[in-house]
Amino acid sequence: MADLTLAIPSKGRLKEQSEAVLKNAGFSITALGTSRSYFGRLDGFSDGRSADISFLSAGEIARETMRGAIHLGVTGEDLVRETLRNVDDKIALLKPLGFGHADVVVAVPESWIDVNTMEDLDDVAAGYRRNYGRRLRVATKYWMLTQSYFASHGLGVYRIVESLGATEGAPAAGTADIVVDITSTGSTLVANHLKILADGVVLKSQANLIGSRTVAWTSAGLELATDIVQRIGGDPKVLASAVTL
Amino acid sequence: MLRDETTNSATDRSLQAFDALFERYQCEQIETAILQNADPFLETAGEDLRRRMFTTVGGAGEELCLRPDFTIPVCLHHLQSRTDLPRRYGYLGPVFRQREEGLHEFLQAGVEHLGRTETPYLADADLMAIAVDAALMPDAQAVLTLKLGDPSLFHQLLVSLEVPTGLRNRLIRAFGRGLDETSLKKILSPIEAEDMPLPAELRKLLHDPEALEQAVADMMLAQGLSLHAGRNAHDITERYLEIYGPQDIGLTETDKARLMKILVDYLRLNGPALEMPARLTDFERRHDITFGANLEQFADRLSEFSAKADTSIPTDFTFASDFARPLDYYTGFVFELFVNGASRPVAAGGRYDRLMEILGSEDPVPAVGFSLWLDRMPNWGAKNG
Repeated sequence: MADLTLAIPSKGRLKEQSEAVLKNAGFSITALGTSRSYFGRLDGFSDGRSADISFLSAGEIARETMRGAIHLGVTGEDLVRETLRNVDDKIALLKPLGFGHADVVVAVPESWIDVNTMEDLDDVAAGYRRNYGRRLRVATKYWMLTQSYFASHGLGVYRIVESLGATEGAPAAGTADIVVDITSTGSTLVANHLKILADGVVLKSQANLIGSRTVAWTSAGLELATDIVQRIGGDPKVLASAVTL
Repeated sequence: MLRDETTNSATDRSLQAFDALFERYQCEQIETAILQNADPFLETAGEDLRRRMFTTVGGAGEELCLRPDFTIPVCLHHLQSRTDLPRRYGYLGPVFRQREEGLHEFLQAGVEHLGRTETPYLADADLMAIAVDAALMPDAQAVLTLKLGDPSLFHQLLVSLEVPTGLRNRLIRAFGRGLDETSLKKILSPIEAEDMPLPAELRKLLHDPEALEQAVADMMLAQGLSLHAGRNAHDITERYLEIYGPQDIGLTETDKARLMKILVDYLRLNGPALEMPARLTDFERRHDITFGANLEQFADRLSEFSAKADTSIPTDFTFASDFARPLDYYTGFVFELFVNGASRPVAAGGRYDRLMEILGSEDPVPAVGFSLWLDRMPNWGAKNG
């Protein structure tokens, strides 16, 4: 294993913005092999060394960092928190990067004029079985986040309906009553006649540089990582406290 | 009786003791599958339980789980067997829960008593006596603490105080999760105007419930929602007016102050259980309320239990007014048993009259039961690690 492997998103806006952050900090990225390669090299470190780059999907980056297959990664906090409960034991959030903003929110149909808070939702969920013969159904791809957020509001009687795409359409399609979904501007929710509860923001997420607490770190790897963290404006102490050599 | 690897790791002594206990109390011993359909657990206990279950998916896409408790499998077993009632079931075997630390697999034993319809307090008292007997099996000299609660008294208190339905339901749910003065204050505080968003075109209909309901129905149709598959315009409008409507929650500030005072006073009612009937009667007089038949049942249950358990009745037998369970199928009394001052109960149980219907019974079936953790029993516990 290289002293330092950094994973960045393999496509789209997240890839471009991740690369821009590194380039602005004076690093250069070279894709190895063809342009569609999954491996690359990061150059521009103060001491002239280089690090390995892995191009992965944002979800894989969260999982692989948690597993200890890579040292550093760039991915959304939502994906990190969705990967594992108590994820803070395995992953350290080193620096929010100011892009990839998205909120995970609880949204209900606009026509539910009587439901504006989690407390209202709890009230309504409690009567569901009695009134409609089944539990309240929540469409989401965020199982973990939904469960812990709802539990923190004392809400336990509902069912999650897993939704891997077009979650916001679930109420109109009749497959769920409400949604827990990601939104950056809220316009998709509005277009689907859904409103966010007043205290329905589960997580304000953005892309982060994350570090693995489970990977084997070498002192050379830590030096390289410290260089990256410092040059993108992060606090090297956070990194140092997350890493055991 | 099921004797797989985990069961074998329990001592023969504990297995024999439970065999004898079940025989003494005429409990029919049953086995239930370790791999269960997850649906009944999630439908009854809710999604919150999923975090503590081990789940997997079957070949046909059905969600399965390792048995997280016995009550639901025992009830389902009864429903499938279509046998007559009343019936008392006994069980012993491993259950599986996700825990932060410690074992994920541990042994539980217990009794579920289904369908005894005459005077529920008799079944309640019987069951508590069996639990006490079971908890003392490893060591007859152990010091037992028995904690008793009865949410039905709290419910009746709210009825007697004529608390409006919406607020009453909120209070009952908060009570199940553990109600204290702070949470009580929060529930009773007035809803601020800015917390009442309402689309402008509906605002002018606030004083015309029928027109408001029609407008909500139109909105639902325009948004592609079914008017029948879930919440309908009537329910939404009714609840809106109840919670956010111009009449607030139907209580004046004086009413609220009185309600607050009485409920706080009630939540302070803790102490020796056998003194409670007198103290509750005194409470009724002081606040001019009535617990009605629920207090009689409470007193009858106590005296019946005292008569049954005459020799083994724990010296520390307390009532806690705020003791309840968060599951909505628990309907009446609840109890917990502690051995030698341990912080976690060795056994817990109560009345759950609503569960059988949720699981598909056509008629309501009164039910009481308790579960006992074998690994928390002194002398036995250490040996099944």
